[in-house]
Amino acid sequence: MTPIDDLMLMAYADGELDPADRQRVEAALARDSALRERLALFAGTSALLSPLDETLSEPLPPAIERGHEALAAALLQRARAEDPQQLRDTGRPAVRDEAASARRERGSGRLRALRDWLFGSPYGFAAAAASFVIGGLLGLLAPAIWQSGAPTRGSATVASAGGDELLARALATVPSGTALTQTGDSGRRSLTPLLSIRTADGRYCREFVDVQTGAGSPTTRSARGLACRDDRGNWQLRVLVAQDEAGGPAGANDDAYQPASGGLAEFDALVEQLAPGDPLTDAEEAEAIDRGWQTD
Amino acid sequence: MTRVPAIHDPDADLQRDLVALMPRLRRFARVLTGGRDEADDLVQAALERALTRLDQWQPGTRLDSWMFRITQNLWIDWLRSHEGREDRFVELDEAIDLAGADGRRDTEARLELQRVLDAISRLPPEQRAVMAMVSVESYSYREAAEALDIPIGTVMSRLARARVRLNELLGGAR
Repeated sequence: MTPIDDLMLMAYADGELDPADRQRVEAALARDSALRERLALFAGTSALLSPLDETLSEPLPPAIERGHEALAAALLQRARAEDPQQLRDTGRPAVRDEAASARRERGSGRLRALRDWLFGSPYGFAAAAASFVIGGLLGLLAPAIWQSGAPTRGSATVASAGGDELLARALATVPSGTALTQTGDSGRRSLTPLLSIRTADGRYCREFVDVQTGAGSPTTRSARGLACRDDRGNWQLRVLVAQDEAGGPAGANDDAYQPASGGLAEFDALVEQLAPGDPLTDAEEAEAIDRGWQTD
Repeated sequence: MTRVPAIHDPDADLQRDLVALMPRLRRFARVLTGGRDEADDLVQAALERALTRLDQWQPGTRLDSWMFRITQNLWIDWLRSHEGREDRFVELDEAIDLAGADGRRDTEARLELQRVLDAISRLPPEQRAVMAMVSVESYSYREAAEALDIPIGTVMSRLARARVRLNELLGGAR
């Protein structure tokens, strides 16, 4: 019988041995106290290393948060591209009355995960100091509402002169789940349509997220919006929920993942109210984009 | 209106995995580099590299293994390009960490951490990733071998040497 060497003893400590070897090691341990001491060395490694857990509660630097955000969006986009069937299956509701719940259900797929992630991550936008501003928009647009901080109601044309051209372009041309990103001297802005809806009266509406990061600044500003296409073919912003994010994890490291916030629930309620209707499947959305969102 | 993720929603799983992974990835990087700033630089670079290699990740496989592997490979690249400079990095980072430890509410935990990091920094670089995966992340030998793309026998021999040495460095004082 070969002696029990370090490798076998270590494998025993790590639960990596098959039953026969395990029995052999146990028999040797029973009669050899030096071997038991040696075993304690391997069995104790995890405890020796446990002070490393202290690093888990260190706040995430903003640069890592942004990288993490970008990777999540890209992975979802890729998974979505590879598996369109899954989305299609949850797309169109069979029964009309179920449209609202089907919308929620579709939202619980990849795109929902994306928006939950963007807004529900304990490291991201759910920082404790976050404040929501809710309202349809009049004076328009994320930058405006962030500057004034005042909620306004009404609607504003996205594509008009002086309007938000990047948003208009994203709404008109970008498939849901894909980000349109612009990087400039003042920072980075990323617009991601999340969902397209055909309302009961035949209009198209789209939910989107708008994430802006100032150049060289840890502050990220995000907004979720709903825009609908009007009779003249312009996208009108109907709802915008803006959120300021101070850029720190607010001590939320222990329990990953806490979706939910009052602002999101309110947003969903407003969308249900302003754009009741069926979500488009990927194929329908692609077709609508090709047609330039013409309804006839 | 409740917002409970669907139970078997693979995307919600992916989200949770990613959110939960960041602190673990930083801990892993810390084991490799020793210093916090360097570890964060490494994690950030690993995220960027992952973004350029999305096609290498198979949906449904472990995201953490993929990220650990990218991080480890990147760090090896860094070591090669900074040949002979590793010690200087470690000393610099230690100095920063110890200075920053003053006045922290849990200075003792910080000092314990520093003590462990000091010991790890005396292990050969190729042993650190293996030890972090098996003894910190509870990977099986096979999982670690696959993630790091090395033979399982290599995992075991590195691991055993690392643990014996670590015990010499840390065990006696306890």
